[in-house]
Amino acid sequence: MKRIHLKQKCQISLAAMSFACALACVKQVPSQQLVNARAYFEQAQRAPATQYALDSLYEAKRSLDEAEEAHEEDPNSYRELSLAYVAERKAQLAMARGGLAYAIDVKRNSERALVDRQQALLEMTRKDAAAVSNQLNIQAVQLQQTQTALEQERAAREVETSAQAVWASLGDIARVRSDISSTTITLDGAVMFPAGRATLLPAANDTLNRVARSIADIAPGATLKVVGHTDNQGNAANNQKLSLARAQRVADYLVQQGLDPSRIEALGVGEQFAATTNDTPEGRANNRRVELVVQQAVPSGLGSPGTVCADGKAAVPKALPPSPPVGDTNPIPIATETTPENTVVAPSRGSVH
Amino acid sequence: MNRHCRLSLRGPCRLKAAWFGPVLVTFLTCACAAGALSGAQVSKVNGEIQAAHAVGAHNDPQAALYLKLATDELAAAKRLSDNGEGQKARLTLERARVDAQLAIVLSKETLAREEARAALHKVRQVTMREPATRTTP
Repeated sequence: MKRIHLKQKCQISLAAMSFACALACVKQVPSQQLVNARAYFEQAQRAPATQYALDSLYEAKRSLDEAEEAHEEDPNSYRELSLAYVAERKAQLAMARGGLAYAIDVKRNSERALVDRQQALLEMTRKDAAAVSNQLNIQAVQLQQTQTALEQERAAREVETSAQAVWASLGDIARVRSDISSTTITLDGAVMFPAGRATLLPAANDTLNRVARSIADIAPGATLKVVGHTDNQGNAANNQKLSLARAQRVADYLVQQGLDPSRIEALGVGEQFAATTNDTPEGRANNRRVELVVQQAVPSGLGSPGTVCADGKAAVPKALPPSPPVGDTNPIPIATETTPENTVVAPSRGSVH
Repeated sequence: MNRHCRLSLRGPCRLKAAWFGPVLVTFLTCACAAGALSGAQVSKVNGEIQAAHAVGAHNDPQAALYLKLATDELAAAKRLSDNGEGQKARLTLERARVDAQLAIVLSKETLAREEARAALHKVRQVTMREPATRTTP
């Protein structure tokens, strides 16, 4: 009986030791706090922002390790719970610090980008302003040029208008025709000279005085060509000489009236450039004439649309006759031209332009 | 310790010093661990809580939660310390400290996120205002 009792005691002791060993071998289930700490740490490890706070993550790992050690030493103890709590918070801190650093980084980069963009915009605005300013300057210069041109044109038109008025005032003694660069004053030969002669009639003095005054007033610097014309009656060579003598006589008279002799040229073209037909007395009378061609430089910006006569009618522009060789300019009486009263019909040589 | 030991820690003297340091540290640690919370420890955590208030943690819902936890845990740590449970008091005080720190960082993070969002918004506004192509007159 005693033996049995001892045997039972041994069995019980053995069973107890085995149970104790089994208990020791079974790993303790971790607390919920520790499980949470592990989960937060893994989450912190995966979070991209935590890369901005690696020191905090390392600190969280150390706290988690302490909690794990506490769990190994004394499972579910207050120490384990507290250390796991601290580890969980430190994992959260690592994430929050990473987020904070990331947000600060984003803010800094955004502000830098903002400054860069604003500087770029400012630079573009400066360039635009410079371009606009340049454009305004160009427009101001163009405006100034336009104003100057307009003023010149207005002044030229005023001069032209006054010139037209002066030329028109000569309408009772001469025919006046103007084009862009010249004005032609046609004087009736019958009024100016006796038939076949190159001496001025008394009535011609008054006419030439008015013409000289007008030229001096309107075109003091202009060149003047005095061109003598005859009809086709008589000898052509004599007509040529007569026309030249008459032109020279008129030129001399104009010089006497104060015009610059260096600007005056006398030409005799005879019967070459008939103004109209020589077949009628009226036509021949019109062809016997002296033309004063006043030529002056056209002012810039002044455009004349066309040739206008002094009486307001449009005139057909005629080419200036070529300058014949100037011969003897002395006024010599040549009795070869027919007078207006001389109605002897001579064979026509045809009209000349 | 002879004269030689006073001048330099070599030989047997160095061995004695190597033992003396850890023993002293262990003694002090155990003494502190067993005792009540010091005023400096409490003040430090209290300062963290005040700092959390200063950065506006009480205005941020999430940070305010951790601030409340920190405040409650600080009070609990004081109670445990008064009851003579020094180790639990220190562990609770540590919990209060990390909660206060989390409240501070969360509050700062919220503010920084708002500022970053505002800065990004400004950049987008400027980008939208900026014409895609500009023609130079």
